[in-house]
Amino acid sequence: MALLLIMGVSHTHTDPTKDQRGCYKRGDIVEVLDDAKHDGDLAKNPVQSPWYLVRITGVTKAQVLKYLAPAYLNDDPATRQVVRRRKFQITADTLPLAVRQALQANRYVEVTAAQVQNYLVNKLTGLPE
Amino acid sequence: MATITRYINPDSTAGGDGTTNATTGANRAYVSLSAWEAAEQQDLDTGNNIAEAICETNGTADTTVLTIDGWTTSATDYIVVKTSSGHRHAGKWDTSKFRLTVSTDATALFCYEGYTVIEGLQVSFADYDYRSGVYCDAINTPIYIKDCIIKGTGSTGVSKRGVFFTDSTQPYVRNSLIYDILGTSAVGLRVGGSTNPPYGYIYSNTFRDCTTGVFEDGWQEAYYYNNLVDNCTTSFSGYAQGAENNAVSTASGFTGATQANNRTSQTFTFVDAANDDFHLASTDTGALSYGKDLSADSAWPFSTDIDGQTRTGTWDIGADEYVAAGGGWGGLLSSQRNRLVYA
Repeated sequence: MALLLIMGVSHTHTDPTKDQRGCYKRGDIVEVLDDAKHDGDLAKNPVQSPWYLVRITGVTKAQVLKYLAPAYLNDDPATRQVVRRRKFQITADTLPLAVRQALQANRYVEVTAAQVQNYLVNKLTGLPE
Repeated sequence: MATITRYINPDSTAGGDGTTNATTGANRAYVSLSAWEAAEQQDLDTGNNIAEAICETNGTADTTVLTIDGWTTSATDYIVVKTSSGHRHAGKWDTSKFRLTVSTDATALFCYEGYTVIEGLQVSFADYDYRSGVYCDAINTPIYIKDCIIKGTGSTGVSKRGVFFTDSTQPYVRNSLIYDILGTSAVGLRVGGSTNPPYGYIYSNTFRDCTTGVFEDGWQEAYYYNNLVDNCTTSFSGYAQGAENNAVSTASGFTGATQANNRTSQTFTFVDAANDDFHLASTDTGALSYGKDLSADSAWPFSTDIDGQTRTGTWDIGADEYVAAGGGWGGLLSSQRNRLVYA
């Protein structure tokens, strides 16, 4: 299993370029972690704002590391330029009702990869991964 | 003005708010610097705030790339990323202390915010083309790096940089150790900047085992004082605004518009270079007591070394000030070559 630490709010900047390149937006995946980084005791260790924590069963941390990548203007390693803080985001508002309700109640939910696959979208294309 | 202090500990669990250094509970530390940066991103200038990230660990490394971007800062409202006492290295890479260790094809730390201070961190990055330990890009504003250890791995990557300052960023680097930056066109410290003020200030650093130790990719952009460069194919490339009291192991060294007391073809003796302990040994003849006193420097005065020990007498060149090992008796005077210090 793997954990996705997800932004629950959007930051903004007055400079539009910096806003897009530098500011995290709601649904951006900030961190991917091993399963051990959350003990599941939401009374003892509640998930705090601005975070949502999504535990995905059936995948490893290595398999979801790609969601930490920024979106680049080009892919040349010598000149590549970041245009979005994260390439992918979870479209939190369109998640299945049961998942949304769990997130609203606990800021935490456990799902399968299949349950969230279609809600992980490329921010530049707007299409699922 | 307020200081917004938050804690980071990779041994915490995800979802904390960082307001304490506990690793459990609602107010537990952020699990990574990246999480801190995402949660705390804000306009510090309007709020008249200082954002202070205090890094701790129970042994686990932070392995997520840190990018500092999307903030608004100023000379009085800025960002400080530092380790707390007890979680900071003692001048040698220490896997029990806080460290940012990135093993993927990425630069470990990007900083796009001027006036940011990075203090006491250990940073390592993997052997990939065009990657850096720390990459600084802040238009016409300074970024400060002090008391840090930055190291590379491997020697196949092309154009790697221990620390990279873009042309428009004003570099301030002192008391830092940068080593193992090897490969084609690899550089320990790359300085850009401007031929006009504000200049950069590169004080009392140690560069070791780099293809090029320091590369000033322009003309007269910074002052270089008290830097030690050892076992690099090229020690210094470029032409400084000022270069004084630097010491290098190669036949050619620092050049600059003003120069004094620079030393070339030196042999340095460290405590245990084979195991990357680059503290000066008591027997050193290349750097010990050849430095310039910068305690009253007009641009960036200081009086400690990478370990936080006070520099006394005639300063040593490099990140470390040699201090003789003392006994466990507080206030006991011990000899320090040609001077006396409290052990």
